[in-house]
This record gives sequence, structure tokens and C-alpha cells, in this order.
Amino acid sequence: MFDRFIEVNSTFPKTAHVLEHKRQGGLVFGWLCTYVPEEIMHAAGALPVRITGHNQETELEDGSAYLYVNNCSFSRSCLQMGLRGGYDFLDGVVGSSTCDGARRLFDLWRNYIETPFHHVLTIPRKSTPEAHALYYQQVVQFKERLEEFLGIQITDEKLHQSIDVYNESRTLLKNLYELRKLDNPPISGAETMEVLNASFRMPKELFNEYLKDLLRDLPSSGHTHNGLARLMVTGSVLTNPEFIKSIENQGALVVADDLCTSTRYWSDPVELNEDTTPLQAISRRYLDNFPCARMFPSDKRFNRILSLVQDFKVDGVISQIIRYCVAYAHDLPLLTERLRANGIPMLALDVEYGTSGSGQIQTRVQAFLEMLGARKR
Amino acid sequence: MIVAGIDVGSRAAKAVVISNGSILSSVICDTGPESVKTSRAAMAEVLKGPGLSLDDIQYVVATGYGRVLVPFADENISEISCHARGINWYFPSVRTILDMGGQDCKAISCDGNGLVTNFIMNDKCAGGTGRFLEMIAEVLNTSLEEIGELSLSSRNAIPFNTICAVFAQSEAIAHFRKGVTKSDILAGLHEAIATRSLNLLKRVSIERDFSITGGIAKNSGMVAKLKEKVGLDPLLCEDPQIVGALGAALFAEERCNTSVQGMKIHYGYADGTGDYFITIDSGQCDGCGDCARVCPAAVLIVAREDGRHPKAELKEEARKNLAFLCPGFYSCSDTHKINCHSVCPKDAISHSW
Amino acid sequence: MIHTGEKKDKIDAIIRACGVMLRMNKVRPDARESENIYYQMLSNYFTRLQDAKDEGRFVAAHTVFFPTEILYAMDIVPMHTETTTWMISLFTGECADLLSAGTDLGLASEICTPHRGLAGAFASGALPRPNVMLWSNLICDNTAKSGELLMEINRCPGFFIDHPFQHSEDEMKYLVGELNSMIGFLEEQSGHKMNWDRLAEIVARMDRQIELFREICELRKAVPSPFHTQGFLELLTIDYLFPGQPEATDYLETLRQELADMVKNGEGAVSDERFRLMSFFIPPMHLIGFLERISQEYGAVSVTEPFFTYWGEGRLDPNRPLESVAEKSYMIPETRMYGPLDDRALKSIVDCAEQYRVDGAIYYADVGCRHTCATIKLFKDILNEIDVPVLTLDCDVVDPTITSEEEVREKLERFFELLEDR
Repeated sequence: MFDRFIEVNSTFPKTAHVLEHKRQGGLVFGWLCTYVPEEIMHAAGALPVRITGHNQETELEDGSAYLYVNNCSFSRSCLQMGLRGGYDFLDGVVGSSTCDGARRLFDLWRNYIETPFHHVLTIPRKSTPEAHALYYQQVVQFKERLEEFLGIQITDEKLHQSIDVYNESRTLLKNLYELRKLDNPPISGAETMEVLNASFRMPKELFNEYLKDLLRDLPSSGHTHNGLARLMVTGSVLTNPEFIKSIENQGALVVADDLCTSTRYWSDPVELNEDTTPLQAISRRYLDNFPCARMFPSDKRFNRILSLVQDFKVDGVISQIIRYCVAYAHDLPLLTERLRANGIPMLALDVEYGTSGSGQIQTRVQAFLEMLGARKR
Repeated sequence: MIVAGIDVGSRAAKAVVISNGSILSSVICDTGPESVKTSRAAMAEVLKGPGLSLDDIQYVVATGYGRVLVPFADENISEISCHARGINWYFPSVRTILDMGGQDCKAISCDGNGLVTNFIMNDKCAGGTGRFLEMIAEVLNTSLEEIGELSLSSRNAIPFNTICAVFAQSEAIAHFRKGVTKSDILAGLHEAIATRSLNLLKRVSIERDFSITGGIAKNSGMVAKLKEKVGLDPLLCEDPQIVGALGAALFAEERCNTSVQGMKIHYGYADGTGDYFITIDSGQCDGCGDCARVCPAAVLIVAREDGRHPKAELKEEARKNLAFLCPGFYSCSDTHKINCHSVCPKDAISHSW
Repeated sequence: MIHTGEKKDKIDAIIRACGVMLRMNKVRPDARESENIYYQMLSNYFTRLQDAKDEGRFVAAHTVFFPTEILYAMDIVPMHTETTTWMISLFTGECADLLSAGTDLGLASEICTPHRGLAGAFASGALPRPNVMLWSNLICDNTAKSGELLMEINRCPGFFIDHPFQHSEDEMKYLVGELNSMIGFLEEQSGHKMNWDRLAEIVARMDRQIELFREICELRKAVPSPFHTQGFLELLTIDYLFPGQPEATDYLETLRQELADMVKNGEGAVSDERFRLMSFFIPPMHLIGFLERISQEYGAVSVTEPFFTYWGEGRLDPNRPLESVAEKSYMIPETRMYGPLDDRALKSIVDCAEQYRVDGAIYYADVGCRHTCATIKLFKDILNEIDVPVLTLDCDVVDPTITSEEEVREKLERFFELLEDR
């Protein structure tokens, strides 16, 4: 059931779909952060793919030489893949001022990797009306630059079509997550991650078809997963399903998440109504979406985490923070305290991007599960 | 009933044999390059004293970083849980534990039953561990056993603000070359390690009754510094190094005692396609063997390597490819009228798929 | 988790240290008058802060690169948290305690030492408790994220200024809006009204001071260069603590005159100038005295610091005071590290190297600072193109245990040999 998703992930970035799209003369744009509005690139006729790094924890010689050793391994891993030609098919790269790692990754990409089109968006850290106005201007400017670069018009009609495709994807993923709320869900956390990873690495329309098939087949598949504890994973970027598998192999079930690459990516739909233009609706959605730790105030994110904990009946939270990720590390004391006040234990791990969760991490996860009274062999 | 706990650490292997809550014997041996051999040797050694053989041991729990490699263990439990459990046996009032081992340091909070309520481990850093002290002892041409006493004789501790293993080592060498006495260098290092341990402890909150476990707890200089930093008298047990193994043995005993209420053992794995576990309630299972006889795939067996208390279990060779051998309960019941669930008189067996 | 002791703060250590410097300068024949003004200013700043509570004055704690002009205009006592914390650390030698107090709060080692220790300073009571906490995302994620925890530690309200990334008209408008909202917040919290006339006066003085900063830098182009190698740290502190204040004008005018006299007489900061250096970012605080000594020994002087003393173009307009305060945040040299590193930003670094005729550059690579280390390779590459070698010194700006004098001496000596050979 998951083979088609795994196929995409194991061949990314140069997947069959990307190569085919290029062969037919299509454009491919890479984006660096969830605050970059994908619909705009899609409406321009391009295939948007998310730039991610090496699938496993890897030696980052080039990444470290260019970004220095003290920047997060996610940005180093992405840059290294770019420097080594992994993304040489890209027609454009779009970054944002989200965090220090993201903006420096963009700065170096712009200077050292030959991608024809570069653009960076200012992302406000608040969601006041003024911040929305500013972000809207940024989205308009991004659209105009794309139009100029491609010599095309991105019409409202095209934007509407793109919104429909992306919203469908969000609804389907929401349906998939509904299944994870069950006592014995038909899908594990590691399997969910394969689906999520594919969601930002392939044509959305095709992904939606794959996901519909999966949603049709899953309930009757007879697959059920039961863990002795239901866990939530929080943090920034996490794309290696082996990490989740290493937790689930110890007897827990990962049922929910708060990650750039999961819930924070797909959770909120673009809401269209008669009074708004599609661009306004897109810009509102991206700034109001499930917030990243960079946003102010942090309580907005904490409250959404707490409601996920409730909806998905979470017994414990594993925070996995990529080393040198300042925003998430700063929130950790406050989040730990909020969860504790709600009776939810947390295990804090610091990891490198791409980790499969071995060694000391295993010991900690095991002790955490023992603490929660859950353990398999 | 006799049970055992074995703690295969990074620097030493510890084993404890207990019977009805009292220690029959305990040993500490060096960890060799192969954990399997080390664990066998430690076990043989600990059985020698009371004149027992492995067959006399009803249940073995392994812990420590080599815990998954102990071939004769019935179960493995993390060292964090085991230290809390072990210290609870000595001092039920202890709520905070500092475990200072060979390759890491942990601060643990526990409740009155010895159950872990919170823990913190130091990260990817050898600073302040047994290995680190060994390195320093080597640099200063002295032995690990002596450094604690030596540090106590210092009059003028050299301040070390870092205990990063790399920086502190070169700093120690530099001081040594300049002619600073061993005791002053060691006192400074002990001070720095104690400060860092205090930070670790504060992150789980420090209660009045606290204890120090692990090999470093035998270092009198370190204990004195910690006492000074924390401002509390630690409750120290006779041999702080065997606490993990003792905790493991206590878990083993509990497994045997509470088996009436059921101890579910899950055999199998989860992979990209699903969860494949067969669960046997070892408390209920009486080893009658009916399930093994009816299983069309013949994946079940009633046996124990050591012949103690026969129970049904999944054949070793089926544990890694269970999904290919057993079609799962629903599919099996459809095809065969009789199956492992329906024949079990104790209702002790279940499937995850 | 968090407790704030009523223990007395440690501001006094800074005031006493300033007193010592002033007394020492009285007997030093070569003491600069500007230096005396500087230490007197510091002493006054911290005395005001120390007395604020007793005098019932309203104190606002704020992070680095903050529009302090607004606080002065509102008669609010500013507390520059980074400067205050690390001066306390420098003069009490309690860096390790501050850092460990920060770690106790649950702040991971990823959080840079200046901010980890700063949180520790509030939690341990080394810093007095402010009435409000103010912060902005200028210059990095650490400044952006520190405020909420500090509010919780101090149990005080706070305001976060969202500083936009780029410099478009829309972004300027947004920033002015943010500043206006903060003024509203401060009026409500302190009961003080914004005095717009005073803000206009401050902006007018600030405009003059920026001009003086530029003139001073212009003088440093002279061969030999007149300002001592770590002098730029004084200039930084002046803008951090006293923007638009009359005493800052006094200091800058005095310094400019002193440097102008030296240039006229052909005097340099070192007796025999051999190497003109460009400095990237801040040297470890505990090595400042050592770096001054080695500068004399080798005739090596920092003549320009593109991120600290090389001000952007533009003027401030007292008739549009708030817009000017917003505009200033794009003119300060530090902002060059924040916006996108486009060709223009890179060219300004090359221009700077050429105008000041530098022989080499020293890059202080602070282990805790992500965004300044991320550009090491990039800046090295563009400077190597114009034949300026770059030495990278791994260090920590506040933690004295990371780099030792011996290490730095060895690296610098090798670097000077390399420059000599060219």
C-alpha cells in the first residue's frame, strides 16, 4: 500500500515524476520553508518541491565547510545536496526569513548554486492585521516576480484551481489523520511519515490520487497497530521514518506530530469566500497556519499542541530538536512546563537531521516508555 | 525463587543474584570487547559464590548499554528504571538519584515505589563520566582508585570552568607541566564535574533524600564535592556500582511474582506494512502446548532455553519474518476452523493483525 | 521551574570598576580625555539603573540593537540586558555561574552563551527585575526568542518588536507601526506620555552622532591609523547605551578631535603600524587586554569593522522622529548581518576593505552564533578575490574557557607571518 510513496521518497530529489516533468519542458521550483506559498508556484505552472537534505544522517563535509559547523544539520544537509548537484534541475529556489538557518541557507544557495531564479520573502513574526498586510504585499511581490521571470500571467482562475488541488490534499491528509485517532489505527507513525514525505516531493494531483487509493484500502486492509503508549513527536524538520520506527519498535505508537514536515505543513486549508481574492486567501492561510516556534506569541503554538494531545489521546510527547535550532530550543522550557501542568510527560531529545534514532536515543526512549508503563519486546 | 539481574555497562559488567528480596551474591567485572562473552563471564562468576547454575535462576533481567546483547536474559529494562528500582530497595525515601556511570551521567526522579517520574541524561559528551576520569588519571600518572583521595588533600583547587573532555584534558596537561600538583588539578576537576552534576540534578528537581549511584559514587573526593555543591548529605549504599544490576534483579523477581496478574510478552516487529506481534500472557499461559500443536504455520513452541517454567513462545526463527509465516488471526480463522486463540484454555494468546 | 530571588543585583560591580578606571587614568600620562568621559558615562548609566528602584522610576529591560531613543524620550530607565550582564560577568568573573543558572532553566547548550547567561542573570538575581521586558528579532533567532522566557522569569509584561527582514516601503511602514504599538504599550504600563518634542531633539542629536561616527571612521583611514585596535568596542557601547544623548555627542566630539590631532601629527595607535586589519564580529571579552598588547607588539591595528562601525548611508529627520528611529535601524552597521546577503551587501564589504586599505581580516567565529559563522566561507571567498587573507578564530564571546591566550597568540603570530611574507 505504501510502495508508491516509498518509491518517491527513496529516489528523491530526482524522482521519475520530476525527471518526466522536466523532459516535457515543465518547470520545477524548490521551496525552503512552510511559509513559502506553494499555490503561487503551482498556479504559474511549475512543479513545486520541498528542498530537504540527505535521507540519513550523513557526513556533512561540504555543508559544514560552507555554513560552518554550528548551523543546524538540516540547512547544512540541504546545502550539501545542492552543492553536489542534487537539485541541478531546479528552475528556481524560494526562501524566507523564517529563521537564521533558513535565511543563511538561502544566502549561500544564492551565491554558490546556479539556480536561475531566486526569491526570498519577509515573513512577519506576528499575525496582527498589519502583519497580514505586510505578508500579503510579500505574496503579491512574489507573484509579480514570478510573472516577470516566466513572462506569464498568474490569473485568479489559475490560483483558484491551485487552491482546489492543495485544499483537496489537505482534506485527504486530515482524513488520514482521523484514522490515527482510533484506538487501533490502521496506519503507524512511520508509515504516515512516508505518505507525508511524498506529499511535498511529487505532483500534488498525483499525490492526491495515491492518497485516495490509500484511504480506500486502509480500513479494509485488516492492518491495526496498537501501542502500549500513544505518543506525539514535536520539533522542526523530521523526514527519516526510521526514527519513528525505532520508537514504534519499542512498543509505542506515534499518533500525532507538530513538525514542519507534517501537521504544520498541511493542517489549515485556504479559506475562500466572496469578499477575498485568491491571493488574499492564500496569504491569510500561510501566516495564520499552525505556527512555527518562530512566531510570537508562542502560546498560540502551545495551545494547538495541547489540543492535538487531547484529540489524539496522547500519553506522552517526544520533543526532537535538531541541534542548533534556536527557536525550538528556546521554547522547550516553556512547552515542558505547559505539558507538565496538563499531566503530559515529555522526553527531550537533541538530534541531528536524518537520524534513525540509535544508541543513547534508544535508551532514553526505552526509559521514557518504561516510565509511561509501556514496553514491548 | 531465585532470580538475577545483570548490568552490562560500558566500563564494567555487574551481576546480582537475589532470592526473596535479599542479595545472595554480586560481582563486578571489567567489560571486554564482546558484550556477549562479558555477560556470560559475569553470570558464571556471580553464580559461583552460592554454588548455583543458570538452571536455578527463574528469570534474568538485563540492563546497561549492552542489555540487548545478553543471550540468556528473559527481558531487558533500561538502566534508568533499574537504578531507581535498585536504590528504592536500599532507601525507599530517596526521590532523586544521580547515576554517574562509565559513559554517561543521569539525574533521575522517582517515587516511593522506585518508579521513574522524570530523568535527564547528559548529551553526546564524555565530560564528567568514568571514562573521562580514567583519561585524566592516565594523564596524571595515577590510578582511577586514587584520584578521589588525592583531590581531598588539595589546598588550592585549580579552577576548571570546562569539563569538555577535550578542553579539560589539555588544560590538565598544561597545568601538570607547569608543576601544579596532582591533587590541586584533581580538586579543580572534581569541582567542575560536581557543578555540572548539580545542573543536571536541578533539571529534575532535588529532594532532600538523594543518592548517588554508579562507579563514580565510590570516589570519595567526588562525593565530598557533590555534598558541598548540593548542600545535602547523600544516602550512599554499600556498593553504589551494583545498584543497576540489583534493580534489574528486583524487576526479575517482580515479573515472577506478578505473573499471576499477567505479564504480556509481545513477539514480533513492526515494519512499513504493519505491526506483526503475537502477544502471550505469560501469567496466564501454563505451558499446555495446545496452541503450538494447532498452529498451521508452526510458529509457536513451548520451551525455554533453560527449561524453567515452560511457556508458549514464538520460535526464534519466526520472530523476524512473522508476517510471512503467520497470515494473522483474522485470515487464519477464516481458513482454519481451529487456531491458537480458540484452543487456548487460558485465553493467553492474541495477535496484532 | 523559575524563581526570582530578592537577592541584591550585581550592578555595583560595574560602577566600582568604572571608578577604578577613572582613578587609574588620573595618574596615566597618556590617558585620553574621551576615555574619561566614556567611563563617567558608564558609571552614570549604571548608577541610574541601580537607584531606579529606590527612586520609584520605571525600568525597561531590552535586548541589543533596540530603539533606545524611544525610552529616553519617555523618561524610562533603559537596561541594555546583554551589555549589563556581560559587564557584570567581566568584572565579577562569574561567567560560569550565569551560564549554569541559564542551563538550570532548561536552556540547551544550543542557546548562545550571551543569551543563556542573560536568562541566568535574571533568574539568579544578578540583574534587577525590570518593570517591562522589550525585545526584537534584530539581529537573530536568539534575540527574537529570548523575551518570552524572560517575561516569565521576571513575571513582568513585555513587548516584542517584529523587525522586518528587508527594507521595502511596506516594511518600513510595518516597523513604524510596531514602534507606535510599543509606545502605546509603554504609555499604558508606565503612565508616562510620549514626549514627541524630546524624541525630535534626540533624533536631531542622533543624526549629529551618526555624522560623528562617520567622521571618526574617516579618520581611521589614515596611515598610520589613530584609533587603538579594540577602540571600536567603545563606539559600539556608545550607540548601545546612549543613542541621542548629549554626553554621547560630547564623547564623540572629544574623540574625533583627539584622533584628528593624531592624524595631523602623523601619530598612529601603534608606534610602528605594519598590518591594517578588518575585524568581523566581536573578540572574546576576556582577551581584549591581551589583544591590545599583541596589537602593540606586532603593529597590527583593526582599522574597520564592517558590521560595527561602517554606517549605512542616509540622514535622520527630526521632523519625522519615529520614522527616523525606524530608518536608523537600517543604517546601523549591524543590520548588514540581518537582511538578505545580496550583491549590494557583499560589495559593501569589499568596498570597505579597499577604502581602508586592509592587509588582512580577522573573523571572530563565536561558536554560539549561527548566522555570523554561516558567512565565514562567503566572506573569505569575496575577500580572497581582492587578495585579503582571512583568519578565523574559533571563540566564545563571553565564556573565557573556550579559547586561551596561548591559542590565539599562536594563530595570530602565524597569520602575521603570512601577511609579512606577502
